[in-house]
Amino acid sequence: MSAIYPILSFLPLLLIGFLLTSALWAKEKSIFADLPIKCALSVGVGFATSSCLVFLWMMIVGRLTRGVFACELLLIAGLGLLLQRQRAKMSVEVRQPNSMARPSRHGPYVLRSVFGLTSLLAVIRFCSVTLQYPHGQYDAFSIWNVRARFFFRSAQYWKEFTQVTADSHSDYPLLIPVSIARSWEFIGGETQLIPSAIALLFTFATVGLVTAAVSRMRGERQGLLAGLVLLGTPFLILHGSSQYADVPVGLFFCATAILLLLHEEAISKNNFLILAGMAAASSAWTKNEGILFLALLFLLHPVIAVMVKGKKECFAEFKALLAGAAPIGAVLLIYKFCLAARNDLVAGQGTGLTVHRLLDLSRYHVVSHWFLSRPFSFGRWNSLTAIPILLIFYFLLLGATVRKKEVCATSIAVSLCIFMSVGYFFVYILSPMDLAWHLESSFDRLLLQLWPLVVFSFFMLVRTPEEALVTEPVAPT
Amino acid sequence: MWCISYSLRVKFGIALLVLVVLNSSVRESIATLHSSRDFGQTHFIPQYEARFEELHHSLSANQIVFYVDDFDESSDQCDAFYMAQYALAPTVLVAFDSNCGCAAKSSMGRPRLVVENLHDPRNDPYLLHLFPGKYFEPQPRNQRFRIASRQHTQVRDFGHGLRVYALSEK
Repeated sequence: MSAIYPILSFLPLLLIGFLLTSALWAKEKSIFADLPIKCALSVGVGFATSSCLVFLWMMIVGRLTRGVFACELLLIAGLGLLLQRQRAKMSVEVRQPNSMARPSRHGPYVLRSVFGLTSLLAVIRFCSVTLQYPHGQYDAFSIWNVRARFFFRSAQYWKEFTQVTADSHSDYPLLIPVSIARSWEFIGGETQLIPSAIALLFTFATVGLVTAAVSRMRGERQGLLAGLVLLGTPFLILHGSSQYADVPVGLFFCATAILLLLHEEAISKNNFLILAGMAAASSAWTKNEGILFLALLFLLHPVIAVMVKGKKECFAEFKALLAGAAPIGAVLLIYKFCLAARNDLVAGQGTGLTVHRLLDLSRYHVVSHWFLSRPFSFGRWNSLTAIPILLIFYFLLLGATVRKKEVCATSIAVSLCIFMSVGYFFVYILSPMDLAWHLESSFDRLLLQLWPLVVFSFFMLVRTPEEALVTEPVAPT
Repeated sequence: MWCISYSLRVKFGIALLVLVVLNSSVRESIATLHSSRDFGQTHFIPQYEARFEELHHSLSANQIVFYVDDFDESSDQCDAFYMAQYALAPTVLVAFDSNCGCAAKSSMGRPRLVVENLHDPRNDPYLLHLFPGKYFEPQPRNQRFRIASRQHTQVRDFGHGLRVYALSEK
């Protein structure tokens, strides 16, 4: 099957993502402002919106049919009209110049060249692994793609997929399998090009999003360095091509933090927060780890925002976050209550068992060992030049700085990294599965989910090369 | 005393980071391309799926069947079960006497067929690439199924160790 069909099948949802992102973007800016960030976000927003629409269609109509594409077209038309009205209104008002820093004529040529070369090598690596394993790795065919086959092949019996995966996380959310089945329905046949292309889009959208967002907020050099750190993480490219859901969920984690930071410098109030809420809810619609992320966002945001900005502003921001998260959250709730089986980690708990695991010090010893050692090796780096170790030295060399208006969002981003890790720690402590097996089979993937968020937060905190070269860090007194 | 200026240290730090990333990318790319010179040798899942093709077409879409293979004696050897399920979807497989997969309740009714999936790398050498070698070490067959299968009638032998039995009415 020609490669053009998968591309065509993604066009409507990418357009939905772009129009929705543009409609919610800062109103004072041109539609082409921040284009690289918008394009990268469009991948996540488009797939999340479209998969929710397709899932609701399947629930209402009873099966996946091509009628859903009419709904997508209607949504595109509606969003297009909304955007046009916004633009018409804006033409009367004074439109702000594009704040996106244009690439300087005397830009960092070397960094740009290295970024281009490593991106090209990463794409080649991704494609050759995909050619080797067109069906992805174990979880891809035992969890994600088998569900997509069920939705596409089984007509009105699609709900029986919960029986198929009775022992393999049958409560996992449906963004990836529904998206695959939707594209198969669009082109009228099954092809492994679709899950592979979805994996490719999410992997490189993650790199693009972090690079573009850091470039936008901290300058091009800093952005390219952030992108290079992600491209220099072999496991990101390797695992991205395995068609698991860890890289897509990682995209939504870092998108949430990026949108929180963009909100701090926007004039249009709370539009970015609606998108941030959407991104956080999309992570929950992708993998169960996203539910922890969503819950932590709604716990940490009020606490930090009240401390930094006060109650009144915090409440308005909280409402915007909630408004963004509500639609996708509602779809997730429908799925969890109507179809999904009980989570295997929750089902394995009981008062006595849980207390016993919580008080078992040997479990803390094992899990702590993984938490202390794996962050330096999960990326499959060379042991002598592991990037996290280099980043620690880099941080000590350049120092840190946070702009006053970004304190709240940066604190939330850093807190999310920390509390997600704490959450994962206790998931392992309470795990009903064989602990060694559970850690072995999932720990690196959990770290990878957080890695784009960690890299983004790191490069937002650390001083830029330009700042460092102008002023030396002040020695502590 | 010779002292390296701060700006030089910063430039060195950035250069080191860039070089490490570049080195990692080039090294990984060479390794990946080296390991994937013969793409045809790694398409084992499609090969494995092909053995189920005839069976897949003979089963109706909304069907639930029992499944048994020679790897499912212990719960951690479910690779074959999941690959069979992947190939036969949307037919629901219920692993026979193992922990690989079970249907709690289904609107599809009670299974009437048993799919037996036995693996012999002497006939299909690619199986050695698809499953760990230890899977093929001699071990007692699924005794309970063997006993049960005596009461079943073979419906069809699809070859490559794939057979379908009908459960007796009793």
